[in-house]
Formats: sequence, structure tokens, C-alpha cells
Amino acid sequence: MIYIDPERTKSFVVGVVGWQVGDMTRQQLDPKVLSAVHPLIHDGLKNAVISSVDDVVFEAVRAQFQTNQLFGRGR
Amino acid sequence: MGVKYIKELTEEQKARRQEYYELGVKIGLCTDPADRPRAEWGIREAYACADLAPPKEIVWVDSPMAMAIEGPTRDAKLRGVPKEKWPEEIRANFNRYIGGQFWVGGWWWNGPISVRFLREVCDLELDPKIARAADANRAIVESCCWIWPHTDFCVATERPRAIHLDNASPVRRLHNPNGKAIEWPDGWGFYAIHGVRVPGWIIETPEKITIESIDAENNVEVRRVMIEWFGFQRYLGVGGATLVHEDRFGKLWKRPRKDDSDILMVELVNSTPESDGTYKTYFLRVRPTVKTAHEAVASTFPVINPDGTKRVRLPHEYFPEVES
Repeated sequence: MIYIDPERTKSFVVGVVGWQVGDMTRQQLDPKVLSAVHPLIHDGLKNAVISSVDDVVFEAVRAQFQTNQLFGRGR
Repeated sequence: MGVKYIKELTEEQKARRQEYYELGVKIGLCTDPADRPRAEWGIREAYACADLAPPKEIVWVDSPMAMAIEGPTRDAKLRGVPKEKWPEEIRANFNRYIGGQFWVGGWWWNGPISVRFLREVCDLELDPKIARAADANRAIVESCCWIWPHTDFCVATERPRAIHLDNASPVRRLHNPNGKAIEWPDGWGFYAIHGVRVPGWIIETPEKITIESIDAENNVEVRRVMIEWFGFQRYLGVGGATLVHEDRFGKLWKRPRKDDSDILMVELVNSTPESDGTYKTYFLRVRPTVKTAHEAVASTFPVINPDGTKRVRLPHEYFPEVES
């Protein structure tokens, strides 16, 4: 196995299944179609799931590390 | 054979967008146990699409917190990082995750649910290589929560077992006045009131909220929730607060403290409505020398001098036509 650091591994995976799929799909759409789909489905779900849940969960995890609660010692 | 290029949506196709939005919300907020076989298939496919060897092991954990520890710790062990350095490894690397169910709408790209709509409803035919990657992502998103991909292994997370939201629009916020707002099978989760994370004791034992604990809370949002729970009138009444000044900017209250200097607070209503149309009321501590509510509000807006130093805004500098 060739070691690839976690950031690059994530980038490889999400780059293909996320960015590349999104980009290639976009190229098969007239801009009118994109603007008809994007606001409701993409932006809508960004509000309904990412902003309301994922962002808050991420902040909760980060906060726990920042205050060192997991490691049993203060800052 | 599907279509290779879509020029416009038909009325029938347009009418089905809402259905896919709702499907996306259902997937994103799903609290069923993870579909592990499907998720593992999706993860291996995703690695293959990215020209990576499949992970030797897919490790299941019961919460994002467990994932945040498991992934970086395993990586550190593989690299022979001494144990005392693991906390630093976790802090630096916990965020190398992919959002699983929460990224059903995509991030900055067309997400799996948009692609699914275009393929299923509009008959869009993708290049086979792209279609394979889209199927892999769809399988992950529809089967589990966060994943932490590594060249040697992949950590996959169970879905939450409970998610509670308020009814605000368009952004419903994590909210539960009776327990954790979100919780995973291992018990990890947190409490939240209208999207503001609060310590659990405020929800579980609200009777323990006191004037002193409110004063000791540094986070203004948490303090606002504590005052709301405690009761605005009670907060002012029990604390023996007196109204010092009132104008269109707010109310200036003074509250005596035993064996300490008086506390001056300005009560103001946020100019920006919340997503549910309500306006939050805040009590902000201000320096004891202010005389008017206007001056008190102005003092909460520090300005940066040209030389980079901060100074408190003077009342005459704070006279906005519109507040935001």
C-alpha cells in the first residue's frame, strides 16, 4: 500500500464522487436547467441538512477537542 | 438510451423537484440503523473510482465523535506516532471526513440527490465512469453518516438514533427542550435550543439556573437561553434590577451584587428576525460608566482605529438608519 495522508485520501475520494460527478453532470445541462434544479434541491438541502445539522455537529466535535474535555486536562 | 444533454425541464419534470427535495431531507435526517453492506459497497466503489486500492478494513463506529478519534488514532498508530502525540493528531485530522447522509444535497457541487433527479426523472445519461462514481456516492449517502477515508482503512459512522428540530423556516434548527437535540447510538450528542448548543444541565435540571450561573456564563447565546429559561421578569425581579434609562435602542438595567460592583446590562431586541420570524432578546453586559441605553448599545460595537488598536464606539458614531 502506498501511504497517502488523510487529507489527500479524502480529496481523492470526494474529488471523484463529489466534485467530478457534479462538474460532469453540470456540463450536460443548459444553465437554465441548472438554475431550475439548484435553488430548490441543492440550496434547499444545504439549509435543511448541512446548515441545520452537519455544521452544528462539526462545531460540537471541534469544540470538544478545543476545550480538551476528551483528554482530561485543561488548556 | 438516455439523453446526453438537457436543454430545459418539462413542466412534469419541474413538478417533481419538490419530491426529490423532500426525499433528500428524508435521507439527510434519517435515523434508521446504517445499511452497512450497502455503505461498504459504496465505499469500496468510491475508492476504486478514485484509483485507490480498496481499504483493507471498514471500521464501524457509533458516532461522529468516535469517528473523530478512531480515524486519526489508527493513522497515528500506523505511522508509529508516540501515544502522547495522539491528541494532537486527533485535533489536526478529525475533520478529514466526508459527510455521508448530511451531504445528500452536495457541498458546492451537484449533490447525489440532484444527480438522482436528473437521471431518474430527466433520463440523463452519464458517462459510465461518472455514473459509477455517482452510484458509489449515492450508496454512501443513503446508507450511513460521516466516513473518514484512509488509504489503509475507512471509518464509517452509524446514523443518529434521534434528531429533533424546531419548525423554523427555511432553516429548521436543532432543538429539544426535553433532552438531547441529536444523539447517536453510543449516547454521544448534544443539547440545543433553536440551534444554540447549550450545556446539558440547563435542559435536564433547569431549576439549577441561578442569577449567579447566568452571570458566570460567557457565551452570550447560552446566557440568552438561560435567561429565557429562567424567565425575563424573574431575572430582573429576583436580581433586584432597576431601570436606569430607556430609549429607542434598548433598556439599560442596573443590578446590585453583594460584595461586588453593580452590573449594568442593556436589554435589546435583535434587529434581524430568526428563521421562524421571532426576534431574540439579549441582555448584554456593558461597562459600568455608560449612562444611556444608546451609549450602552454603541459600546458593544468596537471599532478598529487606523493603527489597528480597538476602541469602543462613541454614541454619536452609532446612529444607524437600519440595524442588521
